[in-house]
Amino acid sequence: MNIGDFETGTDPEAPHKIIGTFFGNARNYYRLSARPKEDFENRFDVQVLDEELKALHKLILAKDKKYDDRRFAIEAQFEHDVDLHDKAPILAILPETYLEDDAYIKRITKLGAEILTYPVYPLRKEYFYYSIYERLDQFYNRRGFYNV
Amino acid sequence: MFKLTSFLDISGGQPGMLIPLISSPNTNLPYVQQMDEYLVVKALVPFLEYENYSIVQTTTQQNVVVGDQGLVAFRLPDGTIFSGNVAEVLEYIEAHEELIARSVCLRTQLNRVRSAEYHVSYDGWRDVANSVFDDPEQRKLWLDAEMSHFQKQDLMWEEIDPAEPASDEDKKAGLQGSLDEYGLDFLILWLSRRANFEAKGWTSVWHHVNAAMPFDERLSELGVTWMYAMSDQDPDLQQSKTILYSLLQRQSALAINWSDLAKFLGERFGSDPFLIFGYMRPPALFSTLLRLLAVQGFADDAIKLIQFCISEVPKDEFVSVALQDAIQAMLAERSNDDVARDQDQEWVKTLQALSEQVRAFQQQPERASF
Repeated sequence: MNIGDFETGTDPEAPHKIIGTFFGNARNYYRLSARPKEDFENRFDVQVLDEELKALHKLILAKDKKYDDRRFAIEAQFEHDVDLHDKAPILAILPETYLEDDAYIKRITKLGAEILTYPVYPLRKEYFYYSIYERLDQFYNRRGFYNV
Repeated sequence: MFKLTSFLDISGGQPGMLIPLISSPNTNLPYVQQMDEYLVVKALVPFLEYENYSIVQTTTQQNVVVGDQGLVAFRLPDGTIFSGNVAEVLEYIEAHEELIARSVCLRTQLNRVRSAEYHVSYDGWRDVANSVFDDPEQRKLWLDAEMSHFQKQDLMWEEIDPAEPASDEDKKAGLQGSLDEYGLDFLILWLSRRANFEAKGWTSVWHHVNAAMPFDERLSELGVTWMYAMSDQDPDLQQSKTILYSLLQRQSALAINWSDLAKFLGERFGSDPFLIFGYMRPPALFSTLLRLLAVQGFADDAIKLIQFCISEVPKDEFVSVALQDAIQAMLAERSNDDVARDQDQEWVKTLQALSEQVRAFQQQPERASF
């Protein structure tokens, strides 16, 4: 397939539709938790020849380390610039040892960002990732970002 | 046997947890521990980003063995540093509760190490929240996140991949449990099977064998072969980084065909020079890589990369030294070869101009830019 085959056009509702179709809701999308195969195929009447649809659904479920969580990223393009300098960060997730650094914490707070932390021990890369994503999931949920 | 050498200070000089850096007597690579939920060492992995942190040196003699309890280290409120295994940490906490309690943050971090019960942990989190945050909403947000994390601990560890290789390929090869259980020749055989190249943990196995057999040429050849084979799956050369670092450490001691490797790398960096940003640290990696490309790679690729570095990379002293060294090595190569000197006059002129640019930069009192 070519990259153009993945374009959804200019429909501003397209991301919601994609998420609704493959995941059911925004939180499941964040967690890359797809609808079960049977539910997906029955609900949308996926036929034998709909190989591309089946492949996309399979891609979400792929556990192969060759694919990371960008495998179902939805890219939005705008005609105008989005100036990230105008927007203050809303959340910083830090190692918990940083809490002792008063000046650092004050500086982040002054930016308007809220603060969450993750544990340093046990030392394990996957544990750090999991803890950070878990914190972010909780934050999104608490702030209502999934209610779209 | 891996030995404790120093600590990464992720606490910014304050009381809190530190990360032990360890080394093998046979390689120059620094390693860190990978642990499971019981703080048992499951793997030792090379760690090249140590320059991003403050380092605290230690003279304490401690060893780390895969499969044993790992080293846990922390700085106390009085500035002293403790490191030991879980049993030693528990003993220490019991004997020094008053001192530890002077830092509410450290006490909370150690509560996690000793698997304190919920109500004990909660008291600690509440004290931290009250002490660190002024805003009640922020306090509640942080406190709720800690509680949620505590409740989800078991679930999280269930979902995290086990540290031991577990894919079908790994199972076929029989690599279960600690690598220490396998003979080195068996591991070399496992590494050399092309079917295992994509197996999770290939680089860990390579480093394990490399630490035990630092002068075995088979390891160099395997490392290079693996890098070639993985070039499609590793477009940003990040998986290859620690292997390449180790190979470059071996370069002067062993005689394998480094010219092919240099040309392979030169082509990768030549087509995407931004990749060099991932190879700036540690400085020894940057300088040996640049020299390899300069002396054994294609001159075009090396010159292109040097030009890119002069224009784009941070202007640290080690960068200019490495660039000048690479340029001079290329010039020396050409002056040693009469035939090449005639053919390469254009390159020589370019290199001399580049050398001047670097020299001018080196002489500037303030190293703002080239």
